[in-house]
Amino acid sequence: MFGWRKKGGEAAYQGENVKSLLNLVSLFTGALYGELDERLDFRTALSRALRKPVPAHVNFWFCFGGITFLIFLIQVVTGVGLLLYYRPTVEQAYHSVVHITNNIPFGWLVRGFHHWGANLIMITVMIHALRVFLYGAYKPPRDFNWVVGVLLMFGLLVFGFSGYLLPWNELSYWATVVGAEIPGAIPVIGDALAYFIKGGDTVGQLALTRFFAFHVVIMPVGMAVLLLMHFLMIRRLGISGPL
Amino acid sequence: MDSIVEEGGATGKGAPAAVDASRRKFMHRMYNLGLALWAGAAMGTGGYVVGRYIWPRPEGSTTGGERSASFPLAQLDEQPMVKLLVEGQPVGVVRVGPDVYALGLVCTHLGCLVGWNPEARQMVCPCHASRFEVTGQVAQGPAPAPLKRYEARISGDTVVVT
Ligand code: HEM
Ligand code: FES
Repeated sequence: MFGWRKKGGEAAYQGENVKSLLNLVSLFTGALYGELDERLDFRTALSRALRKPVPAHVNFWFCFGGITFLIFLIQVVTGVGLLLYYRPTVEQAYHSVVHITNNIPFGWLVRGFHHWGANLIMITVMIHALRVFLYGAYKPPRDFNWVVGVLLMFGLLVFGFSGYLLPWNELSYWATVVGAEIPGAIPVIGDALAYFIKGGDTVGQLALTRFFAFHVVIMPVGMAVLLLMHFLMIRRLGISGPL
Repeated sequence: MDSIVEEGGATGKGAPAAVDASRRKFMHRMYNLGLALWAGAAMGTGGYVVGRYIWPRPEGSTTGGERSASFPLAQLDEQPMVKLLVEGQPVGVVRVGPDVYALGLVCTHLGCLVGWNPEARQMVCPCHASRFEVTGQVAQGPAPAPLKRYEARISGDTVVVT
């Protein structure tokens, strides 16, 4: 390590030019190999973070939290991709989604990932929660992480509900009209809540705009904070015991 | 095989350490090569897909498809209405007397495809019976707005719709 200190002298410096050009590559691979790792010792940091022994009783069902997170990351990446072409107005939303699906190269793939990821993530998060429940892993000291997990699950539901309106087709429009009636049934605050969700008395441009804001900005930021708490607590408290 | 486990021939049996070390090195190289090939292929494919997806195209803001379409004028002798696609949208061309008219076929009510009624000289929607004049004007509701009008030109013996 720190061998670069020893290389002195003008001639050696000249010879290093080509090499340092090559080292530009190690800006990308360098976290694991080569110069960057030599200077910053990422490898040790990474192995401290990743090489954590997993208890023997951990099985396939323990994977679903991670699978859920993986799908969430896919949603983030493909969602940002959709943002390049999606237009959140009543006139253009539907056409822009059709355009993404039919005309943009690989648009069908990006949208398909986002669409099916949104469905799959609901299944994986349910399995994850069921596993935590059946293993009793929600008990103290992990009780607060269960609470965060429930918030995360509600967050995913809000994600799905808000995203569903964005294509602005018949299905998504009526799903939102019906869906906004459900909180409307809550006593006392129901009407105000439905009014807030729809951004008015009916589902129109204001509803689309605020669903869009929730879907692509507010929820992602909120979820990131909750996910961080979730993972920090897992690290601190460790995996729960066997059945 | 046995001494691969312990480097430097520490097991005290089998081949000299140098042979094992180079074999291990070879295996390592192969492993890294495989990994590099796999990563390269994944990054290449991913980069291609992402690049194609994000690169803007001139027609990026339209719905795509041809901007104009044409057909032989004689076709209107055989069919009362000729259907074609303009920018991916269905368009119907009809003849009334000496004139040809081109109208978007998507009903402005709930989006069904209207059909041509030659006797009434109107576009009629099969879903909720909206009727449109040959100019696109609404003759009878529930459609709230006229059909989209396209330009139809007779040039020689072909009809060009834009
Ligand atoms: C940062 C994260 C995200 C961004 C930027 C994003 C962005 C978008 C955009 C622009 C659309 C409209 C395009 C379309 O309808 O195909 C969309 C649709 C949708 N999103 Fe997301 N999204 C994100 C995360 C999520 C997550 C985590 C979920 C699931 C729980 C989700 C569920 C949906 C659903 C159900 C649709 C409708 C899909 C369809 O009709 O094909 N999104 N999203
Ligand atoms: S869709 Fe044409 S009349 Fe309703």
